[in-house]
Amino acid sequence: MVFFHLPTMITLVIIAMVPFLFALNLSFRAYSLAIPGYKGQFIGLDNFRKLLNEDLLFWKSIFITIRFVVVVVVIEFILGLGIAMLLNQNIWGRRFFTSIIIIPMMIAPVVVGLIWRFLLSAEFGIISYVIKKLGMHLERGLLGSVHTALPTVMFIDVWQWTSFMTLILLAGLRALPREPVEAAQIDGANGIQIFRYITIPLVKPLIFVAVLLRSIDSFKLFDTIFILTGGGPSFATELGSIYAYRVNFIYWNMGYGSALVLILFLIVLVCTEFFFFFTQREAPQK
Amino acid sequence: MKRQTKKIIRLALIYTALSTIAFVAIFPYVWMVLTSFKTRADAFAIPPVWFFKPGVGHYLEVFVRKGFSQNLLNSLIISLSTTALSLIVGVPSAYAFARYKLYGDHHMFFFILTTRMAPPITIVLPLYILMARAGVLNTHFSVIIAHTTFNLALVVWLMRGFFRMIPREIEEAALIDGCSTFRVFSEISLPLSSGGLVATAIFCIIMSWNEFLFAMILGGHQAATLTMAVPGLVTTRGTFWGQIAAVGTVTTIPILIFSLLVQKHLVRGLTFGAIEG
Repeated sequence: MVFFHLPTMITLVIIAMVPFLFALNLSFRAYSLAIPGYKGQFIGLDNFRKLLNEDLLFWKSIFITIRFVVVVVVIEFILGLGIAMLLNQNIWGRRFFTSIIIIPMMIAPVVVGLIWRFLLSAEFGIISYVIKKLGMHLERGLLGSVHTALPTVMFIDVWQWTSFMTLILLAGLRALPREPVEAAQIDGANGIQIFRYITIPLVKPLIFVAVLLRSIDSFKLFDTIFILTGGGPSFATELGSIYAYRVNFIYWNMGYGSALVLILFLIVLVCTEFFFFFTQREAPQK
Repeated sequence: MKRQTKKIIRLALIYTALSTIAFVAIFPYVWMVLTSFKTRADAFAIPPVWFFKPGVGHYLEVFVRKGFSQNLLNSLIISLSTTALSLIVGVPSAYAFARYKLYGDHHMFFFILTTRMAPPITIVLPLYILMARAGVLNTHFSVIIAHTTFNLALVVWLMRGFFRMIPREIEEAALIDGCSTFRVFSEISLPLSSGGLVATAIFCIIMSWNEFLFAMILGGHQAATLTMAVPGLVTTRGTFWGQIAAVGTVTTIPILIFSLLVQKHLVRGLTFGAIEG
């Protein structure tokens, strides 16, 4: 049986383990491919100390990321559940509607970013045009102004990923056993009571998985924001991964950058741990 | 009679809601596809135009004159290679996870999951430095390897679920008849899970095809995929929206077709087999 695992083990060591240990080692060093003097000398925990104690941009990016994750996941969950319940009716054309609403999440994030840049362009975007018609004035467009940029990229994420929640919750709703609902109806429960005390508890495991996966994925979001705003204007949409990109591949400060990406990884790791224990407990060996 | 009216109103409300949602979901995409067939003047018209004389000028410009056909080819090479590699490496392992309990294998199973969950920026940084030292930056190879980090995890997690759906008795009967474990795997389990295998392959292709950060940092211009090349049309001399729309349309069409093919397995694919949709 070990032979079956051998190819995966070897591959993982080469493409995941070695790079991880390399980054870990680098995070204790002053290393750069561009900055003179950063030759890889050992500096202990200095990178982590500086990052956590002195780097205001780092903390700002973390807070923006948390805000982003909380807002989009909550909205996507509420909308996703609502749409899932609409699609859970026995109506004609359900499959058709499902096929349509999953389109946004199948489009490459880069293309999503470019589509919305075009729609929101201040000079000729159709949405800017509609906004202007409604009487609001936005000189640099929704993405170009400090106050509207973050809500706008949140909106775009909601647009792209709500159907992710919908699909998972719909799968849960459709797999619900009939009997508890019928029993409650006989006992005289109304729709809201059935929803609150029967439907929600029964689909709870799926809610957990859906929310957790969306939280992880929105936490590490890069492509769409990179294309939409690049983190601007004046860092208003600079999520953790965008800041990490800037430190590593614009400033080329890679020792410091390693410490940064490892902290991001650590946060995701904790969530992954939850996902793992939860799903493995729910799916016992058959 | 009254009940009938109530039912009709209810249905009307549901369909109105669903149509509105569908419109919001699809409008930006449709607008891009329309823009790709517009002339420059029509694309930038204010107020925007819905009806126009379609042309394929933008497509000719990008795919014939600007060399985006090479990017299309790169996308194909990279996504097919990483898919093949991930399947060859990952499927046997998935089978072992599905059928046998080995000492400490849930640690390995968790480790595999982390390669899919880790932020891409965390993976790409050490890969970039290591590949720069090995002299393989800006090649198809480097991007294929990088995409395998997440696709291998997808293969192992998804295929384990598909293998588990095969009734154990079939395999046990073959074992009793004297088949070796490997023959049971290759001649019974693998053919029986061919549907799952195809779905898994499609998910791998989609993931790789749509990926951007790895392609940008590791692939450079020599191995530029479509997603990596499109932002290049946003230049300091102006943005070629018509051409972006043309490339965007070509980038998305195969993926949309694929996603229709695997719609049945979509939930499974999105949750790495954690939920059986």
